[in-house]
Amino acid sequence: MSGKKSKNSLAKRSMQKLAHNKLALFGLFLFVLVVLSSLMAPLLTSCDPHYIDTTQRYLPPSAEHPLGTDQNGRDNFARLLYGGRISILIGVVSSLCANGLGVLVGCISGYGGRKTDRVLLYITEIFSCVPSTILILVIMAFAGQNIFVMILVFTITGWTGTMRMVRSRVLSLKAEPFVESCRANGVSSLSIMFSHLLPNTLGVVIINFTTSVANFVLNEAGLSFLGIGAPKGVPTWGNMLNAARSLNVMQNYPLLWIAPGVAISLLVLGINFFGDGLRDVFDVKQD
Amino acid sequence: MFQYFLKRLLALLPKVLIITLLVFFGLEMIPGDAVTRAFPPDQLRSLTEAQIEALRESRGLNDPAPVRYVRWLGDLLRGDMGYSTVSGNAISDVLKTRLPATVELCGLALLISSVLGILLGCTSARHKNSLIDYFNTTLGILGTSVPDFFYGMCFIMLFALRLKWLPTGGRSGVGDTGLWGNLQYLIMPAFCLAIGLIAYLMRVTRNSMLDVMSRDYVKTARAKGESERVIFYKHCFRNGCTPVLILLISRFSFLVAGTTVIETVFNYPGMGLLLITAITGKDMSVAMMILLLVSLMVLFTSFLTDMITALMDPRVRFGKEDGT
Repeated sequence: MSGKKSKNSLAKRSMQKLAHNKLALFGLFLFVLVVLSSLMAPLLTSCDPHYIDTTQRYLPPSAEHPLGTDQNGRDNFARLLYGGRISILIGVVSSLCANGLGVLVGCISGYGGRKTDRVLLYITEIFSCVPSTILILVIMAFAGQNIFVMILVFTITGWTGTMRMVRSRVLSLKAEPFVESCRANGVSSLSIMFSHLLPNTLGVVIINFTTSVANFVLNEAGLSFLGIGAPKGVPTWGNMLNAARSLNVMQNYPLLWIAPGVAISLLVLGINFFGDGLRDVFDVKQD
Repeated sequence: MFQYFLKRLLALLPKVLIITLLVFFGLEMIPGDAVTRAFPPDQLRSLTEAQIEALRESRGLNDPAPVRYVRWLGDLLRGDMGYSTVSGNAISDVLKTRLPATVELCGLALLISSVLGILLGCTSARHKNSLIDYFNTTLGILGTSVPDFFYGMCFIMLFALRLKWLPTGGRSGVGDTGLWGNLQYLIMPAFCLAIGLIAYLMRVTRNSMLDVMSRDYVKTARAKGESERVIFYKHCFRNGCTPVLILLISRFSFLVAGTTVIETVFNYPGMGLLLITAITGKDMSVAMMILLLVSLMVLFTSFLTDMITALMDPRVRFGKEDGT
């Protein structure tokens, strides 16, 4: 009971600390705003983001189309809202998978013996030798354009940072008396790893989670902008920006590419502000 | 030092082997005939089926994979990277024109980011928690949050299309000579490439300087009555910037990776754009070679970082390796 109480008070203290950080709150507000507006897309617009009407191309903003229409006559505002769903989904799911993998490997590497640690660390090093952006490009080219492939590729290339951090946390925690006490009481290795050591690394993991959501959203945008990310017809922010690769669109219809660009920037800005606040709360040294 | 140098160099070898093995495996997975990648296409066109088969036998393309891997490594060392399956050009020839362009771009970006990043970071550290500091920090987060190609598009819109100060892209036009003729194509892409690095360096410099400024020898200097300016530039700056310079080199791979998007935005004919056109055109042999080249470059820079760190800090050389 007393353990529960002290845990609550730590959480409470962290929350209070966070509540005092104005930038972090602003970040959270931005993030929630962007996520909510894309989740509530059907309430905010009645247009279908896939509906192509070639008679309605490049319309200026009007009451019916608040942000005008694009090169295929689709409603830009609807595409922006629905596109957010997929961009955010890719970011969050990839980040969950990548950090999950990182935590798993990190725990095993840190808690396992010296040999296991060496092997796993070496694999991590190989992975971080290859610049992830370029590896992602090549794998996407082999595998074809597919959202699931994209999430898989982001997971494969994005887990090493979390792994390193969790590993070094676990390594230093391993020497603590409470671990020895667990072992003396006959707690299994798996249980020590995941229910005693893991919670202590959570601060690092949460921060890594937020920053990698931001990174993956940016990566999705970059890939789709290059035309090798999400499949062509799917509305994502990156695909919308892809239209601006023609100078005609870039010069004459700036709304088509500025809107998704600003949306991405707002979302990532929100996540980064919030992540910085979290970093202060968990007192994790930067870099 | 020499011993450490050798040790790191030897540690590099297995990594190089694994990466080349992966690339070789990738090349093997490319659909189509390996002969088209080993010989120029116009030479192949004039041959009959039997002659091609003989060619294949003579080059050992029917040998088991490990033998071919070793031979392929030998070819690479001699600078023979094979031929593009789409355009039929020798890959090494294509890279010869594209690589310098990317090096130019990355070099200028590195220069811009180190100067601006360290400058902004130092001013932030000197006036900690002041308005300038907050402004810089906010600017830094903004720099990492906005996608770099979006900056690029905004710059093109503003400086090239509206104000017409700079060209929208490309590398050099007719009649562009002299320094400005070349530089005008480089400014916007190099700056966009640098933005993320500026933000990163600024944060690192700020933290490093603040760390140094709280050291005892700075207090001593202050107690001796040195002026704040002398303390900052003479005592803190040198010590605070060493780790920053090391981090700068280690970030090189991010710059190279960033060129793919930036070169596409500005239609700048470097290696990044080559990679993108290769991938969209399913020219996988070219793409794999670029992957190999860039990975080796990253390996080499990490080796370089280790060496510089060891030169500056003898503890690294003699310290026990714990693998972190």
